[in-house]
Amino acid sequence: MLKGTPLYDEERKLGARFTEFAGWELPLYYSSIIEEHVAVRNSCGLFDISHLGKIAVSGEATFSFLQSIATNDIAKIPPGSGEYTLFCNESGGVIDDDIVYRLADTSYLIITNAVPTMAMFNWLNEKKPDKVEVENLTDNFCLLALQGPNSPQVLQSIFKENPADYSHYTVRAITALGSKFTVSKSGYTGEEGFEILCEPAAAKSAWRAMLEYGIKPAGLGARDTLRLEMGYPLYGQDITIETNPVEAGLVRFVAVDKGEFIGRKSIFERIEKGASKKLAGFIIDRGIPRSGKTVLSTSGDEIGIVTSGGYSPVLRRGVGMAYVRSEFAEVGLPIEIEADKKQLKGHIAKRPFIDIRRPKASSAAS
Amino acid sequence: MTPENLLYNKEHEWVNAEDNNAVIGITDYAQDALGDIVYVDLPQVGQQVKAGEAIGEIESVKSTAELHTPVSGKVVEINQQAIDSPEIVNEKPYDNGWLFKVELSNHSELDDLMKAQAYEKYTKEL
Repeated sequence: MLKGTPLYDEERKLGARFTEFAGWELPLYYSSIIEEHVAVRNSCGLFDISHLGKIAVSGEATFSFLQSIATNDIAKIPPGSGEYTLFCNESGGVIDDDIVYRLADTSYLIITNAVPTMAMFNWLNEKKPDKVEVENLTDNFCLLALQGPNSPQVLQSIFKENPADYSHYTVRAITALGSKFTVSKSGYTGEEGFEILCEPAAAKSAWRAMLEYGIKPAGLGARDTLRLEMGYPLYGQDITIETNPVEAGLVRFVAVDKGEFIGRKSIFERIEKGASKKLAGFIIDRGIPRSGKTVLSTSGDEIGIVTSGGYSPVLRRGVGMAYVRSEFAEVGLPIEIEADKKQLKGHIAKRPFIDIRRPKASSAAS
Repeated sequence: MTPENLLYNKEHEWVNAEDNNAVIGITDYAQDALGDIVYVDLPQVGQQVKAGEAIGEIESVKSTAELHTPVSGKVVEINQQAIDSPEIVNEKPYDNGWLFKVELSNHSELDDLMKAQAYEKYTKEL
């Protein structure tokens, strides 16, 4: 049985086309994936991402607990801020990639990917000491993502917040529209944006207020093309329990010097040894690469497999990511990708695939 | 919504037959189901095609669909605009978004196709 978010009726009224994802019935698009994508790149779009997991971790031992299981350095997070991190198992397999926010001194909130929410919740519970509480708040709260160059203006007009008070991953508890919101500067589109956590009733009023203001609702389709155009990996496709941070190219989010944490030894060994395959971006000349397809060298050898594929509305080209044998993960190298009845020609390309105007682009997020 | 003067098949392609020629495109139902169309691959001019055969491909942001020909014959013209600006197939599937033209080799194939009302009924049952 699929579940809709608390905004399901609002979305249905807007004529959304729904799709199934992680047990949820979510809007794929409202008018068109490309239109919604372009709106986010050029002005602003509003996503309902309430399907993402929301796990509260609190208690006096929380910092040392998180420091012992996250790959990134949790000490870098002062209250009112957040950080992107991976959570790995002992062999370095990725359980999830998440944003960890420190709401107060000993109160943290982890925003997880939808699919591994329960895996993360169980992992935290399995590893936590007695003095730490772990609570799954996924169904208690909604999460909205306001994304695009005009989002600071919307934050100011609707939520009466000063955008200058927010830097990357700042998180603030605010009151607006008669309700409480937890607002962070974050997103998964490469554009400037904010994510807004609140109870369902507040989500409805904020949703309506932003749509009335003229913001375009955007669905999961555009969320995927936007992150793909930035070359952000998606958990479940480009990163899984079977892949490690070294081959996924996420070593910059592994603080090997911070002391002991779960997976450290394995990851460290992988770094020393080097990865036999690597996640690489690619651009296709004509046609759309689809995930699961084989990547071939120009001499026809199988060199990898596509884990994310799609269309870049900005480049008007097919783009994607694939795990390829390390010796082939070289920008500019020509490749071919199998499609139904043909082979698509393209080349390994640097990520992001598009030029991002702002100096600081958001890093990968759930 | 479904033009009365056209004939339809179950693959959601339409045929506009006049004398010896038939213009072929995809229906509004098909373009709507595909969403944003970004690539259209059509048969070659001069190619002999057989009714029911997959002779091209339509790719949207979210999926790839085969293009079939509902009638047999020789391809005499293709719509270059649909190749250059595939969004025209979303916008005007029944006129500027047509795809290719066939010189009919077997007129009786037209009898196997549905009229507008039957096609509408068919799509409602899907």
